Amino acid sequence: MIKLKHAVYVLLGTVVFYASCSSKSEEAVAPNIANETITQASLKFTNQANAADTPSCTYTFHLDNNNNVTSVDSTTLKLKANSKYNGVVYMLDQTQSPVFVVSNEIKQRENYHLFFYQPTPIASAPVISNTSPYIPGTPVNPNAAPLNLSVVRTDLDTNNPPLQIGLSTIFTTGAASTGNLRWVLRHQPNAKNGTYAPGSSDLDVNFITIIQ
Amino acid sequence: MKKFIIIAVLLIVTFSAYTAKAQVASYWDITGGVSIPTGQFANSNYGELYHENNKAGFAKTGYVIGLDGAWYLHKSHWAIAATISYQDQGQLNANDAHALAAGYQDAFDVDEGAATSHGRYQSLNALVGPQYSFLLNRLTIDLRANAGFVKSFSTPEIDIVVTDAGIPHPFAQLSSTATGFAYGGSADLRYRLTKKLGIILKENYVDSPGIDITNTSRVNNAGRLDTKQPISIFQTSLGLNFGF
Repeated sequence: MIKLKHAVYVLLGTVVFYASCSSKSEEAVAPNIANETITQASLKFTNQANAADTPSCTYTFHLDNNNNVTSVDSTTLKLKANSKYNGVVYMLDQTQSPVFVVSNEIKQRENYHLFFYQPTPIASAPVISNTSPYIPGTPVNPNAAPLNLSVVRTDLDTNNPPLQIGLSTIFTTGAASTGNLRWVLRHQPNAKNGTYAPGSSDLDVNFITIIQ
Repeated sequence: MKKFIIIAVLLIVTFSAYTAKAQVASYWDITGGVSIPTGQFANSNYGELYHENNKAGFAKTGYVIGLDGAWYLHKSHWAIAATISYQDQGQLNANDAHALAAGYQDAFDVDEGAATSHGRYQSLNALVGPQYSFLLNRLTIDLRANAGFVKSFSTPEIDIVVTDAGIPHPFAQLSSTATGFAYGGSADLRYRLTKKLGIILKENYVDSPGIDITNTSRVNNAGRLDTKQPISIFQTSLGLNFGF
């Protein structure tokens, strides 16, 4: 009986030893896929004090048959002085049929996308934090008349803790002035922390902006 | 369901009447066999975008070896039974790695997703519970319910790198050595060859709500994220039975 038990133990020990040695690695790389194409990007505003005041600006990419950008055009953003506007983002991919609303996709993928809004010129460097919509490193020009515009993002994603997105905003204007609005969408896969640095830009455009 | 209950009651009454005068003896046995994962533990589907299978375990059919015993209460067919088993549920294969790479690539909308996995599901179950035995001459049928714990020695580690615009963003699901609650039930057939030696065929089911899984470098809430791996397994084993 003892011999039988010993034989069983040896057999089981051999099985365990073999199993512990038979682990191997598996590695796979998924093939490259193209990110969504943005052919038209718009900012649409509604004046908080006057619902009939609905300015907007649109940046359009014209593509050839191979989806290469051949030309771009943009409209001017005109806002009333000393006003507050609710802003929303609207982005399209017109290469698809039916036209694909990219901003809806951004909303679904909000946990690793972040919009930045940078008025220029600026007289002093803005305070940069993980809730600031401004772009660090923007040149400061104390001699130029600044664009009197401030921006806050008003939406939050579902990260823990939640971070801002920038699909909806409040634009606050000051005195009449002229300048540019730089608008950037950062794609920050597993890197979004509220700041500008991580990731890459899916969109980086400028609008001439007039506050009148 | 009613039919099943009626048949079960009839079987118990029949066997009880038949075996009322039979003798039961405490025993121990050693078994080995096949361990088959079920449910989410066996799931190897990454899931759909925004509806990922966070609990998919990618476990494979493996083997189990067990040490088991039952100690009968005085002049009764009821026993206190205990079992310790070691099981290996395999590792991720190339298809699993491809599914994970593609799934995370889509989930983070990146140019490239890469997945590397190594390590196996290896664990120990320790379960205790009541057992009732039906005797038919040399044949004994045991039914058992039990509860205890599962101790993981390792789970597959999964290393992911999502790369966009040439910038890699790595994160990982680490191997777990956690312990979790487990419960289950078993049925077996024992056939007595001699007074002290027999063979046993055992069917065992073990379920655990899960063992804790640690993930590193998960910055954003997106893509599959397994923080607790449920375990459910069916085990069929054959072994030698020794009377005390």
